[in-house]
Amino acid sequence: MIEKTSTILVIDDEPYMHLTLDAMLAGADYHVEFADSGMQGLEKAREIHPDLIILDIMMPNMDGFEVCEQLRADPELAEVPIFMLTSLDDRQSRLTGLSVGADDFIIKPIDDLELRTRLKVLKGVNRYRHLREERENLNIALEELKIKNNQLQQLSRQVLAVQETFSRNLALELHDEIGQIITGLRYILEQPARDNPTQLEQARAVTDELLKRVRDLTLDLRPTVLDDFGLNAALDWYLRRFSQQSGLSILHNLDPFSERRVDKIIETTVFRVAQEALTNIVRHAGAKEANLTLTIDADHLQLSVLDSGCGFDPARVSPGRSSGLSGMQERANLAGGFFYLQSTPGEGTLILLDFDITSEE
Amino acid sequence: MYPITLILAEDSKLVRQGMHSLLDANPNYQVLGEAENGNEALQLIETLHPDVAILDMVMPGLNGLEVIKHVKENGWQTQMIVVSMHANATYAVRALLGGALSYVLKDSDFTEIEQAIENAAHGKRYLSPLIADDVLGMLLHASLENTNSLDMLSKREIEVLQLIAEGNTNATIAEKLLLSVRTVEAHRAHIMSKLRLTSHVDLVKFAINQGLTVA
Repeated sequence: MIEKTSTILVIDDEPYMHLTLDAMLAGADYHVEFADSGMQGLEKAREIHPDLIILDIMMPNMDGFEVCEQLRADPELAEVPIFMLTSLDDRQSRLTGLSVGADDFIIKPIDDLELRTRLKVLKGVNRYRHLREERENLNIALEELKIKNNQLQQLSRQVLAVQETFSRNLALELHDEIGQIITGLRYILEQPARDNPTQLEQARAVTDELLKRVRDLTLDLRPTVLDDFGLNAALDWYLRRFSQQSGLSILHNLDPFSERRVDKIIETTVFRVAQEALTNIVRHAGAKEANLTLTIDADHLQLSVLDSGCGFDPARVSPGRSSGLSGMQERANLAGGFFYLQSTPGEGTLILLDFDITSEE
Repeated sequence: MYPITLILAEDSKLVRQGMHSLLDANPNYQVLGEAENGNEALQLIETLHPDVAILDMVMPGLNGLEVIKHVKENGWQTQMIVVSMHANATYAVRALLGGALSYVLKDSDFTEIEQAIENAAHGKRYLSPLIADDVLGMLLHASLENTNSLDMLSKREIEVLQLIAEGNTNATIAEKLLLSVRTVEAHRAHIMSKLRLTSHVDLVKFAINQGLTVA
């Protein structure tokens, strides 16, 4: 790897020191920059990000110790090597220098050979530049990752939203269009059926069946009651239907007359998680009874689904089941909710879904 | 009494025509007008004063529930029969509580609609048998709501209720009673379900009213 010429920043108020150091270093393939005061030195350091700073101690206004401290406090410059200029017998300055973050000391008057050797010994003076560049690259990569991650979340959210919208539209279509047409057909068939029962009765039985199928399909796709009356009414209806179909007895606290509405996304999420949780109970838990509670306060909404079935070890779930579990988790997360599952073999399963709904008030 | 005057509000033309021709075939009925949305239905009711309005639940503009509300608010005497695709007790109960006299499913036999009209002429209700069970269940369930009392709870449940009302979390309660969090949650869920409490605030209020804790 070809290394860039290392840049050294000299902060010293004495003009002759500039000349001396320039003479010593410029020829040795270093690029040297100068600052006349502590303040200017700080500014320049922030601007050029030198590979090394040579810092005088005695300067007016802001001395070298303070400059050193400020350099160390700046996250961009905290790692740059700093050499302080001291006199041979100044033990106290060296101690203070070390305590404010100096890396090494150069004794005045400067010995040309010693300085160059020290610089060589400081392996790869531009180590600091690499560090900084690497950190920047890392930061960029991290930012990109964050953006990508956000995009992915956004996309998942969109997929869910699109899926729900699609289901809702399809359900509406089935309900309003196809359902209505079949109903119309029934009325048309009804009149002649009174005159000529047998054949037309059959035709009517078929349309009845068709209508029932369409209606079930509609409800499975998207329950209109959720859009029309909200979670309490929708879950109340769903539980009745689900109990009839599955034989599961479900204790619950739902109030079908509740007028309380929350965000549509939260309503959909809670409804779908409840559906999935109940389906799991029938499919896997072998429980005869379950308990579902929906608690809506001013700031919180909580769904709790409990069964006293066989339970399972969440760490060891079959792939088919885990997709259902992660599906619930994912839905909850995407809608900004907190999903909690607890299950122990032999002790049943508890699913909690919690939303902070403070912002809606 | 006869003929019974009617208006018919239904947004689907096919359904409206089908129903209209079946109603026309009955000499006891006289259809005064058709509406294809809620606003038209209201106008017809206001101007024609029919004995009975047959209303679709879902219509553009004002839906069936909103039409019922307007009619009731204005004190108009027209009886309202909701004819709906929704075989769902929730819709029926809302329509009935809103002031509809009857609720009939669209896919039931037309004789049901005739029966509903016949009943309406005598100020009597009609409910499609297919959803009657659910509707009654829902209404009875709701009326039980007022019988909340501590007698409905087990000793353990009362203990848990008190601790919740005092502001303890499930985890703290589990620790105090030496139970698992799941068991505590099960108690909480049973309490909520038995007492028909739908919010945490209601649960705390109940506990205060029962003297389990102080406000």
